[in-house]
Amino acid sequence: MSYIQADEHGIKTVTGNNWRLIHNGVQVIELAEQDFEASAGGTTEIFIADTKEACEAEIARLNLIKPEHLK
Amino acid sequence: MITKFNPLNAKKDTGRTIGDNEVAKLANLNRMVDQVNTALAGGGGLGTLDIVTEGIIGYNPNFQYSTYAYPSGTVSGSQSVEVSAIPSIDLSAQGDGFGANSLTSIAFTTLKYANYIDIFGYSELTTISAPKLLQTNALQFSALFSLHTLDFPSLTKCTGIQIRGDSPFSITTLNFPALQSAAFNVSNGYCGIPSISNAKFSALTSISLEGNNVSDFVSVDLPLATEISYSGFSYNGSTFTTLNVPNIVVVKTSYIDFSSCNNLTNVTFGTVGTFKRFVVNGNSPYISFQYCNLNQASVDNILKVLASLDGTNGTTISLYGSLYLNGGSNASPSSAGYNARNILQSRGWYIATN
Repeated sequence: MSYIQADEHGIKTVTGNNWRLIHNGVQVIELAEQDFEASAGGTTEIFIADTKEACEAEIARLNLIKPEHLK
Repeated sequence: MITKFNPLNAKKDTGRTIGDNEVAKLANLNRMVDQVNTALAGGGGLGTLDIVTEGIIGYNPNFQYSTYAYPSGTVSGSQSVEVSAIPSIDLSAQGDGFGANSLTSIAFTTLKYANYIDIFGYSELTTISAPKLLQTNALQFSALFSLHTLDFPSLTKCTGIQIRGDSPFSITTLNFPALQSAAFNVSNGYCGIPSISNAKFSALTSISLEGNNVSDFVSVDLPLATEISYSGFSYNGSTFTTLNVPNIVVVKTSYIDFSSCNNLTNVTFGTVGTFKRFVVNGNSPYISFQYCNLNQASVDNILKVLASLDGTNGTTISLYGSLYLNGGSNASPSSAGYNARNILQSRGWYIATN
């Protein structure tokens, strides 16, 4: 379990097959198991883990709000 | 019927002496009451439900209607029944009624309002019409394998339109010239309408869509549409090739999913300068064209349009969202598309491209 660090341009890029929690500190932007390269910047964080449960625990820890399509 | 205002009652209610001004006001109120009562009694939906049918109905037609005020009733053949509230109408060919499958035409001649109209299973039915129907929550037509005409010339709003068939059938005449807002559901088997287009729905400006794997559904082509409505905008299926909504101004759903349309090549989802904002109650938009066959112009257009929501030119900035343009045979962005992608990512969007 870890957060992807930003590069010199402030962009976080995730690769490999993993569960991904994408959030902005307030709400969940995405929660899914994915295997393709994707990126985000700004205040968006990318948390990766081996299981969905680990991502859900992070959601609970940060008290993040889930969007409608993930409820 | 709404009772009219009575000067004597009004005097009791207000405790004031009735003078000319009060009488004039009451007269105006009573004229409004007359108009409402006329509308209520004036034909169909509220007052009278007229059904005109052609073809053999059979002794067990199973035409059901119901309203909130009275129990369900049955209509056999062409009939006019009194209803005291907006009816819900189920016309089903279930059962073994003699000649039930020979019904060829159904017309609701005076119906103005309906909760829904659900017609199922009449294999010889070619035409359904409701010339005065103004609004309904749903039109559902299923297993009508000979259906070729839907005639709803007065319908302005329909929360749900669902057409389903189990074998190829073609609706050649769609008459919805006044329909401004509709939610379409195309799923299971065949829908009989290859394209939801302004050619077929000339007044349609607000749309939502859901469905999947319909063998004869090819495109959404609505250059007049200005709004994607709150019910969602999604379709997944291999025959779908074109999505064209260039003049969208506002998107009211956070869920847009055309993933796995592996023959979807041409997408124009808004235009820079025209598309202004998402209105999604704080949800971040989810937009997926994963595993499609988007050409580069389509990929670039999507990226540029979303990047243009920067808080200038009347737009509302869209800080967060997830956008999937990867997988399948989707083209990679051009340099201009990459620039737009970088802008979105810097803003906070989570994006995947090929």
